[in-house]
Amino acid sequence: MTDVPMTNILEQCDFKSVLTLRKVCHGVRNFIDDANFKTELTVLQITINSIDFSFRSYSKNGPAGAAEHCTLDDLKIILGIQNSTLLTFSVVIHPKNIGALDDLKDILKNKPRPLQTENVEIRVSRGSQVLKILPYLDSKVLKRITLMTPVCVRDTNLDEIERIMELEQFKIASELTINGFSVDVDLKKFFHFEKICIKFQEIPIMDLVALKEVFTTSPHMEKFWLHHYIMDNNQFEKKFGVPSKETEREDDFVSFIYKKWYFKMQTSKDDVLEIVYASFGLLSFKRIRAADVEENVIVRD
Amino acid sequence: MSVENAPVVDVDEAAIPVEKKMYYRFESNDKKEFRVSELAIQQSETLNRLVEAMGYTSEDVENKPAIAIENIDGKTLKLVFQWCEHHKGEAIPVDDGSVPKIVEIPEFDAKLMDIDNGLLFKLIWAADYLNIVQLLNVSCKKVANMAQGKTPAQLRRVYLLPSDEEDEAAKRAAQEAQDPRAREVEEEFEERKRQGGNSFF
Repeated sequence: MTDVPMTNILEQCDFKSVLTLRKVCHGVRNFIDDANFKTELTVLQITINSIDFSFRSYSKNGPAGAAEHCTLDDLKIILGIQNSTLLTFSVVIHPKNIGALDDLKDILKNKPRPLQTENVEIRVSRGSQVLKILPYLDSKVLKRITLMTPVCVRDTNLDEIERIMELEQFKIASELTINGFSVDVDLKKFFHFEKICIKFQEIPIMDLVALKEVFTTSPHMEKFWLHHYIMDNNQFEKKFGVPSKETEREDDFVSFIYKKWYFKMQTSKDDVLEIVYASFGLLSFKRIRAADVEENVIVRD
Repeated sequence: MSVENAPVVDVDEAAIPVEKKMYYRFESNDKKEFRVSELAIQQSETLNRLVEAMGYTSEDVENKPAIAIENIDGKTLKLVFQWCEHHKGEAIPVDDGSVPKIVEIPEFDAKLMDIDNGLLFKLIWAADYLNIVQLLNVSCKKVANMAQGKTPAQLRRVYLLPSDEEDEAAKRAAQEAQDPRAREVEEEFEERKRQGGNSFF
């Protein structure tokens, strides 16, 4: 049979059937490994356990296959035949098996076509481990980067952030979430993102002023969430004025203060910049519809 | 419309069509002749281009020899033209690259493809050769569905494929044609192929 029907059949097979077909004979195996057919997968989750691998996959129709105790060869096969664009590629690394990350790096690096995914979620304990995955994803389709720490690791500084920021993938992606890590770099280096959720070790007030200026003149910025931000009220109000609105709200039996400031956007009359500080330590800059601002609230120039 | 009532018929069994449409005549490699409507032919990109290039008039269609399709037999071509007549006038799907392909097998197609694997293989081959996109999609979907939930051994039986060991043995047998045991393996494999016709892969 020629390549056209072969490819058509494989693209209509579920992922489990493709993996089973590989085991039928070497002719089919060679075709599957060499052909550039698209699989049905939308989500691929790889976990590097303490001694082996496991994977879970999903298609538009739900779970598409999972396996525990996989070998490196299994991983090569799964990633090798993945030619269509994933919605999400997720990697979780057990801190005691960091060496296996080099194997994963080699598989990704040696793929004839870089793995394509719109979102990547990497759960690692160090920034240097991110560098073994992120550079090998296709930067042309990557939109969202999420870096997380394992549950047992919290509030650690993300090392190698400067090298991560030099990657094409980092420069082109539009959304970034860094959870569990804090970063110690200039806030201005993140201004190209549309959406960001991050914790800085320290943010000088002038960087926040710069963020406001860029936000109000930017056509692309949507949301900047700065976690674990402790506000110096006097210093903040000197630069941003008194809050346009201040409320106290009880969440889970604890009261928090919410302060809001509004600024006109120079790029659009329909939108405004809403800055919200919540006393549990969140400072957010967000583009909202001007029509959604409450009446009698000051919107500053 | 049922498979039996589809308008594609062998010439010696059918009356001249009453519709005032152009019906082209095609001949399979085993000399079976078929009359197929102009609209049905549009389902096949290959045949459509061919008849456009020929520029036949109604008289030409009757007076000139039937258009020979030399590498498809009558049994397969009958299925192909039955499918084209049933789906004539339908839009030809465009591959937008979406995966998985959203392909439903209509009841008519399911009945049409209720055939042995050998003939199904020939139907897929013909759909590919004649570039009939939707027939190729539904026939490949049927083959893909056949793989669901099967083990490698079951798939070998379904798709008439040799295992690596059998393949190696057949190769060895070819090389060691004097070895009676190797010849036996080869003969057994050839017999399986004869029984099942062609394999899908």
